[in-house]
Amino acid sequence: MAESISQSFFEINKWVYRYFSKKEPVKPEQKVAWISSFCPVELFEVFDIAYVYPESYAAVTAASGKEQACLEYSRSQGLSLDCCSYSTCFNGCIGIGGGPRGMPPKPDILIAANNQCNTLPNWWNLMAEQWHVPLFIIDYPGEYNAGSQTRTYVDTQHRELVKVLSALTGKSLDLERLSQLINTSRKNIHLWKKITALLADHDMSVSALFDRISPLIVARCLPVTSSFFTLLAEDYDKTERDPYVKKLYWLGYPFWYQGGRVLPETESQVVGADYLSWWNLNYDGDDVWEQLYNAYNFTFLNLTAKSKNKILLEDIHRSRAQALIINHNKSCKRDFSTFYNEYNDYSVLPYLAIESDMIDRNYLNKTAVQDRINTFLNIIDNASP
Amino acid sequence: MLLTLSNYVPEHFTDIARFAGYQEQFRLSHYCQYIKEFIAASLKDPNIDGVVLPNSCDCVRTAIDYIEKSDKYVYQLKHPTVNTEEAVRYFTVIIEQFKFTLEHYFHKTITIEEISARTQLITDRNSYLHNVYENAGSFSYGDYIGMINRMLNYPLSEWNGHISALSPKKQGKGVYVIGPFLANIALLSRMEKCGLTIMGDNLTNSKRLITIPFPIKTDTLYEDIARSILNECASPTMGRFNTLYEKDYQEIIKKDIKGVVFLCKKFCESYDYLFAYYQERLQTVGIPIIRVYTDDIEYESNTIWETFYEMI
Repeated sequence: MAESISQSFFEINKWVYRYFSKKEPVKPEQKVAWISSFCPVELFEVFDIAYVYPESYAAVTAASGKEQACLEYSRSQGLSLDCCSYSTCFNGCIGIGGGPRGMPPKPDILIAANNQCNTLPNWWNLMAEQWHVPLFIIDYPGEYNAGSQTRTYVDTQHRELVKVLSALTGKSLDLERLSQLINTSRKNIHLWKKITALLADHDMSVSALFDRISPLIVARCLPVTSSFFTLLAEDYDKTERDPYVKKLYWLGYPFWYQGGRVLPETESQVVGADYLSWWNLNYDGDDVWEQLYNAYNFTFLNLTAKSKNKILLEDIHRSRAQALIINHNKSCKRDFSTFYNEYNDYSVLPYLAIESDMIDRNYLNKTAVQDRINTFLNIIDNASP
Repeated sequence: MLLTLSNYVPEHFTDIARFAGYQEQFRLSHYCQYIKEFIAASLKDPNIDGVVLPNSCDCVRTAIDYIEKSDKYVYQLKHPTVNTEEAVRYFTVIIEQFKFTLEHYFHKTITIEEISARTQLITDRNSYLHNVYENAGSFSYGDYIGMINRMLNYPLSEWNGHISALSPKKQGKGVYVIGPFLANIALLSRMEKCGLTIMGDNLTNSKRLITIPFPIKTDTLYEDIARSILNECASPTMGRFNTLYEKDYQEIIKKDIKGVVFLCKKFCESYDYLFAYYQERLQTVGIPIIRVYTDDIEYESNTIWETFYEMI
């Protein structure tokens, strides 16, 4: 089973990065879009557009230990390293001619959404200048909105995007196929929720945990992800969690260059993380437009603090965590982890705040953070909250 | 008094003070100093009755998470970041909603007559500033920005009470400024002392504020306010750097400007990205650009400006 899970995961990644190597170039007739993580990917898939996630590739680059040269390149080009390190890493990766899996195929269009942050539209503007290709920005007002007018506003943008993609590919929108893709996304999210619901009682290493969500991010609407998640849920259900390890909830980005996230795995386990629920999109609705609106306008990071708190509290409660690790990510201003002061409601659990960057390993003081984590683990009461 | 930091917030309903600094900072790592001070002022300053936050950048978007539990009036004004007819319709509803929440919270009806009167004041103030801006290069920019600061931090009805004489400026080498100079007037004065003449800007509270006002009619009041703000407010938030650049570039060429000074703040991503964009485009046309950070003490010496003067 373990082998088939690994094989299945390998196949998904092979598919995601199939056009990055020279062995399998993009067919001349196929168009390429570079998109941000919370773009309505079903629309690209339905038009048979190859899509690249620059943020994910930056994470892969950091996981491969190749990020420093990329960051340095960006710095030398005038891009401040205070900017999101996904952007500085990816920009450098392109500048120096490729990353661990090769060079992403040249884009025909760039599409970014602001339903996670405003950084992405800014970054995409830079890429539009570099590649001289059309840029499409989708504005999702989120939960602070103008009621039904917001739905119309977002729908209009989705329909405009369809027109642009249709003109780019010369194809018409196949509504039935789009509906099927949305159903697959919905199924995959259901399966992922099933997996994360097992976290409180079943063992999964922190490294595997943060890796295994990736198909939901980069292959959300594909049946291959359903197969992988089904296998994973079956396997995971059989692995009981050691009752004596400390159960931690991870708040904030998981940095990508350190599989174990500097946690001593024999003494602690991550039983939940807000990051793992960010892609639990809600595709409710009577038609594809309403489904896309609900899924992409109301992403976790586009909700009010009250709604985010409610989701987090439920998730922390479900996880039966004993304590929180709050990771302040230097790169991200929208990361919810910084919301832990006297204005929050979940400081009922003991917490340890650490500082890192999701991409730049040199920003993390590994020894000091490990010492603090070890001390923290020693003082946590073993009893469940 | 309501506090804000953006031109996307309509001034047509109530007086709104533009934030320009506070002596305390809310404890937050990796956020720009400006927003840390803004949060502290919002929570602690007893003179502030409420806060209106646009969705200008990630720091501002996140600030509401910290402020919304206060007892004060808090409104997140989710203005559109695209400029289309549907965006105008959406923003019209947002603006009506904003007015409604003001009336509800402060138990006061805002009449059409009051809105019309305020619209006229906005028009008069912006027209005045527009005319002053047209002569940029002949006066001290430090004086000019200082005057705008005063106008924007007092009730709109008093705007013309803050008109002040601007010191004449001897013509030097012309530069264009971009970034948060509103709270950094001393920097402008230092640049001027070193022989640089500021001929134009892309500042939130100068050129971006004073585009010739859009006519507003009573029967399409909210839609007209929405349209005027979206048409006038070219900012990085609107997601189109090229539109912003083209406007600036036209002015740079028209005024025969020799160099661009780009002011950034630590952890202010929008301007860091915008700088990278401007640098790439200006370098291709041979216009020098220099970036300075508000947190650097380097710019407080004359050396950097004297060097830039020589370079251009």
